[in-house]
Amino acid sequence: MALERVFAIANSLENEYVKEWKVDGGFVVGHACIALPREVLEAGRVLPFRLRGNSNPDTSNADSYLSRYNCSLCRSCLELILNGSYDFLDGLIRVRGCDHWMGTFDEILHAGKARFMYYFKVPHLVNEDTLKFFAEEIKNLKGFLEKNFGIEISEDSIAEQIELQDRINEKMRAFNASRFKKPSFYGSEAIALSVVRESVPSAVFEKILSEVMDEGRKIEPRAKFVLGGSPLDEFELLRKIEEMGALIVAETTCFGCGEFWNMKTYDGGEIYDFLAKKYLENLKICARMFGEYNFRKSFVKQMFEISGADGVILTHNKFCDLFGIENAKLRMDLEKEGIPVLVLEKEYASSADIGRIKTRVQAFMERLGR
Amino acid sequence: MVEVKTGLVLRSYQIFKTIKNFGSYTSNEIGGLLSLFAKEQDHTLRSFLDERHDGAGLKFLQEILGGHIVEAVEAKEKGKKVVMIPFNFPPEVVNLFENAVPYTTEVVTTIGVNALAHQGEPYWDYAVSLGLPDFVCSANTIALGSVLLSKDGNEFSPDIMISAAPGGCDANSKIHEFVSEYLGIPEIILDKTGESSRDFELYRRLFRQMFLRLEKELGEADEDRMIKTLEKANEANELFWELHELKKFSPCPVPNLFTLMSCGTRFTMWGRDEAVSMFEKLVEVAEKRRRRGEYPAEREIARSFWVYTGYYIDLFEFWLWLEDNGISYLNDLLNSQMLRDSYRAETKEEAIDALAATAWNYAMTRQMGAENMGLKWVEDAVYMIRELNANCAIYSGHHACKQSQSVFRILRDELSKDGIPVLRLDGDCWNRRITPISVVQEMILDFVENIVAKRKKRARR
Repeated sequence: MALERVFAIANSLENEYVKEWKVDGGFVVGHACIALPREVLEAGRVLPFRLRGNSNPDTSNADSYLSRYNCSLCRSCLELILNGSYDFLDGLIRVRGCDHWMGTFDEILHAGKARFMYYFKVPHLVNEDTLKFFAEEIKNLKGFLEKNFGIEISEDSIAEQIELQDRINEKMRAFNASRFKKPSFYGSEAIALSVVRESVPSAVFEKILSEVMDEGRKIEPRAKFVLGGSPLDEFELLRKIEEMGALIVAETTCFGCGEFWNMKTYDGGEIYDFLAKKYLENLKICARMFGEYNFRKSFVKQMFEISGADGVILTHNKFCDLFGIENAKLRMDLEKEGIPVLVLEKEYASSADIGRIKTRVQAFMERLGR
Repeated sequence: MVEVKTGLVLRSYQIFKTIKNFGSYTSNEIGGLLSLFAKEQDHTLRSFLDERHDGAGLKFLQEILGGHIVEAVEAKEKGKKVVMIPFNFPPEVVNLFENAVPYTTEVVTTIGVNALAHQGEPYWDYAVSLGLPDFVCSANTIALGSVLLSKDGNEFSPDIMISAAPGGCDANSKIHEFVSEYLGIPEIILDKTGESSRDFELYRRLFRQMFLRLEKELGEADEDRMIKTLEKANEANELFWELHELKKFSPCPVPNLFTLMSCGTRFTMWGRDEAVSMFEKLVEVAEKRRRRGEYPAEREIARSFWVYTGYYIDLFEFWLWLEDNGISYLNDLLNSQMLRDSYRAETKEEAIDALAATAWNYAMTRQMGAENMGLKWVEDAVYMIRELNANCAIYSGHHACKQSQSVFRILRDELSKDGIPVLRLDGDCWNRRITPISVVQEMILDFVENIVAKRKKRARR
């Protein structure tokens, strides 16, 4: 039952909890990156809602703004913004993610489709200077939210939210551990759950997560894989792959384990410094962070080892420079260490790609003797 | 796929060693000489040696491009280190060190595309054969694909890399990171987060850390040499803007190819005597042409501003062809360099900060590293279009440039409001296999004949 609810939420944009939140006087802002510290927003009753393509393959209007050389996930999201599917958002926070998202946000402004757009700066490096910068950036974000929505965000309420996120992360780790050696959930379910986390208030999510954890059952796959690469919210695509017996048992992607696995737990100290460290260091899982390739390689290896997977599937959308290049290097290095890798380049939500992807996964399993 | 045996730089090195021995030949001698070369090289040499350039082309080949390649290859035997930089980083930072020479990725790619039979294709193919995606940027991937061959000793390899593109270009940053990881070359990384004073302060701090790291690798920078380097950069900068002023005349007395020569000089020799001397020559030739009223076509039909870069896949059939058809290539955004301010530094510390400010405002970093890249791009393009009295804008549509591709609509809409017709082309500026130059020519002619020329006639009534 809980899993059914997860898919119902993940398949929609403005869900029942968002509606309730707004009725209760809360605000909802859209964003597109896990670098945004949700504790600060939720402490002021501002719900961060992560933009996603909702498996929408139609990009006809968006293509007249962006180009066919831009990421199809971004084009899909832009299409949904242009056609009003995201009109429930009170505004947007432009988190500096990648070039494609930056261009998308520019075009949203150009099309006049944002009530407001706040620029949240995210460095590409992790060091003493950038952490200090990022802590100030989080304070500035708080200041903006207070002014824009006429609210007050106290440090106590941020601390409460930090505690809540720590609890959720702990549970998410436990949930994901149950997918490893004796899997009890499908990868498509885990990704859908991740999507839900980015779409409902955290207090609601905590309850949903607890209920979902009770619904585990024994799954016997043909082969087990770790999923890596660019952001992937297409749980339906994963479901089709998993129907072939190729079970995704862990991810390093930002919809999935990558979002929280390495996140720090609060152990005292100045709150903004902690959040800066928590979010910027966690972002090292993303190929947009430079000088951190070895961190990402180790993370993939770690997930491969602890999950007892048979191989790694690395995906990226066509024209994603960050993960397209990164995946090439990861494949070289992981294979050198005896870890089988399949790199899949795809278009977002394209049904035309499914047959080709299934063939390649099938061949990969055969290569592994599965 | 052409088999790759030797790297781009090592092959180009041999060619430039030969070119360095060219003298002031007669047309007949040049004709005979060109018959020895492959078609690609023939077109390149024919372009640079064309009479309209009055010796500037040969000087550019010998002293700027030739100097860049030869110095890089011979650096090690002279006890110097080679610092690989991207085009969006001021080479004077490297030139101020006595023990270092810069190696500018995109310039080297352009050299390979123009100097070699099969252009940069073997190196692009090699990079893609390693698993790199086919949508990465050829501007860097050709040179870097070639550098990857150094693993087997078939190409020269830099000692240090600087990555200045995070915040400005993911593709550029990422391919440099790939090479650094693949070959184990140390990489120093900058980052641009936005446009405020707080963003600059972070950038300045990262820049200073980079400088310290360079000093650790290259030896301490000498203050006098630093100041002199900046003075030379100022001298060249004044000449750069003098040339810019000459572009305002109609017909434009500055040959189209001077924009490429200007870029090539800026991205390699800034802060050195060679840059000053090159720009003196460019200004001298353009000024002479202005006085004589020289222009290759019967009349100047289009005064085009290229909002991105031009094409480098056939210099003869692009830059010279445009001019021969009455289409002036006034400038492009790559070469616009909105850096009007001179360096003002009396101490080493001031010099480092001044260099950081220049790097922060360098081409691409300035526009694509902005908080709203579409609007910053428009702002700079409109400024240059007005400055140069351009009557049309052309976007080369380099398919790997996801940033400019993503915000082109904004640029087009804004320029249209200003009454500037815009042509969007589609191709790869360094890879002829995407769109052949003949197709580009056809589209440009259609645009100029049917849109630009007619507008001009209407305006005259």
